[in-house]
Amino acid sequence: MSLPGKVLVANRGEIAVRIMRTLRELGIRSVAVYHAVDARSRHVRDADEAVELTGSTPVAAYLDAEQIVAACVATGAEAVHPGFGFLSERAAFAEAVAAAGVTFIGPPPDAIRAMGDKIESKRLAVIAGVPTLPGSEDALSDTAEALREAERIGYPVLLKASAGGGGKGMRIARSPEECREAFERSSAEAVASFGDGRVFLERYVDRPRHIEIQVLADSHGTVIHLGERECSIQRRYQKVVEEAPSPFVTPELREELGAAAVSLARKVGYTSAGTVEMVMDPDGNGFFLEMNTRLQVEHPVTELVTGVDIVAEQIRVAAGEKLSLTQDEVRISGSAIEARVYAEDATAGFVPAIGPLRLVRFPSGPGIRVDHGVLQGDEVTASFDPMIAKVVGFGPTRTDAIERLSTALRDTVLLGTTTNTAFLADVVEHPDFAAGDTHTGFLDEHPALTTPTVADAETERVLIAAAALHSPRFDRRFDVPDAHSRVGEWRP
Amino acid sequence: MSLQISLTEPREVRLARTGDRATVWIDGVAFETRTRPDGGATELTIDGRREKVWVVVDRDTVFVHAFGRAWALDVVNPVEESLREGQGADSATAPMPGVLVSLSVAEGDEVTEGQTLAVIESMKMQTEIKAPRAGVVERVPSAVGESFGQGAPLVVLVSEEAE
Repeated sequence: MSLPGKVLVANRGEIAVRIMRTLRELGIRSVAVYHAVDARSRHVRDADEAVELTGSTPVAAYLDAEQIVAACVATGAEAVHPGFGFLSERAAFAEAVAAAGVTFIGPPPDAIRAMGDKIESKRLAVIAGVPTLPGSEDALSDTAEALREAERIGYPVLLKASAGGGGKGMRIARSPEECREAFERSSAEAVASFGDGRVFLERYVDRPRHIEIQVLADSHGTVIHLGERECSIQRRYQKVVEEAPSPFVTPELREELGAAAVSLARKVGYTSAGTVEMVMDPDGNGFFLEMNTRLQVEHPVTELVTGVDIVAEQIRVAAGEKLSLTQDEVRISGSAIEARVYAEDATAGFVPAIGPLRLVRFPSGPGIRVDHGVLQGDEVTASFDPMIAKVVGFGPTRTDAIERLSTALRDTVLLGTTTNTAFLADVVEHPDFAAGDTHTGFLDEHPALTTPTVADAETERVLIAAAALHSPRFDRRFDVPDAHSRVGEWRP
Repeated sequence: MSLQISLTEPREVRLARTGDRATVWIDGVAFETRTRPDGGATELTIDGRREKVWVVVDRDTVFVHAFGRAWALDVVNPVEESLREGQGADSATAPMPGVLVSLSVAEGDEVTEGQTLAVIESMKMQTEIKAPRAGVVERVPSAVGESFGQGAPLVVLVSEEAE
């Protein structure tokens, strides 16, 4: 088999740009798809050709499997890369693509389906020998059952919607009263958000770390892992800082977790890149959370410490080729830390911000990788996820990676709307982060990171002067003649 | 002419330029400054201290990137501001950025205080926008499906003086 000559990227923003970079390196032509609001965006400009999608909303356009398959056929694209989000974990899309004679760059539809359901995936994890958190085996039928199960497992417990994700429909309960309320609210939220009210519960781990294992599998029976990423720094249950390797994971633990992840991937007949997510207690016991059957947002940190281009491996595997390396050839060296740059206000509950990006300057240099999909003049809108870029620092040691990332974030200039770059820099510069004392409650435990920075008098003076010197309000052409103030200004 | 520039609190600011040098008075205290272009940035020297700053002006907001973070400053002309006062309750504004999901009023409609005027969606949550007072709808700046920023007027009422 040989690599495809042309690949359609069914995504937008930074991940579409990143996938196209690998396509270029492999000598493969790229096709972008876009909604009209993105007509002049970077991912369209970077592609060799582009097809417009229409939809009732911009997001609906990128979710329209039928139009995307038609675009593959029209442009002669032999394969489609879904990126993450949008259609990446929809088995029906993978099937529709295949039915049109186009290769889906991702896992088999059955694996997507099996892992997409929290209850089914947990059942498979048990069979594959991956430790799981003690919890209810099936969806809870009513409040009474929820209380009985919570009693059996022991408080605190976590209630989760089976179809959930991104923290939606999740609640912690530390007492029967809280459990009753949490069950009722989670069920209602699950029906509203996913049209599927099934809720189950499991033991809640206090001060947990989020650890995930990157796996790669080909269709020749080779399944390998590329070690772990730690993604414990989260806000609103979403990752904001991710790193590889985890400062907490020892080589022995890495072997153990990696073997468990590989075993699960084998169990579901997995191919392509996937991630087994685990929650880890402070004693180093990892418990299965879920498997993401796609490229992950934070894949760059793994690429930087292993030297493996994960997207290139996905393309090779989809073309029927073997993975370019074996488990014995995987070497993890150095440290890489990624920060997700969002248009949002970290000091106001991370409320998303919108507005123009009037000035855009990303840092570059040794030990810095920036994946982004924006151009100066772009508008951040409420139509899409507000992630602007991923800034990664890497170096021989974790201290080097932290230093480079903090410098890179401080040098990232995004003016015109509110972004979280300073918040991210504050996080990675925090002594507890440097000490590796990270867990998913990190931001709650350090509220100072989300309080507005107060400028001292000297800083304020510089900022006021900069504003005055640049404001057109002070430009003489717009002045209302005022003899007295003129005289005042020129007084020595 | 003096303007009010606020980072957190308003400061009275005056300015006198001579070439790349300028005197900036902040609350009556004079500071000597000098600016030099530095790539897309500006090297600003104030009282002997040198800082690299990036500046973008968006109407009356000045965004400055300095000291490793972005800051926003408001520039107002106190005279214009006093003319604009008292208009606050004339519109129902967006509590957060989002998308307009539905509108239940149109231009010319009479509304009562607390009446639901529109529904917005933000962070996958829907919020009802209610009338700040009774009145008549003057205009509805956004259409259903459009997005807007925090504080944007969603429904503007005919001002009480005009009624």
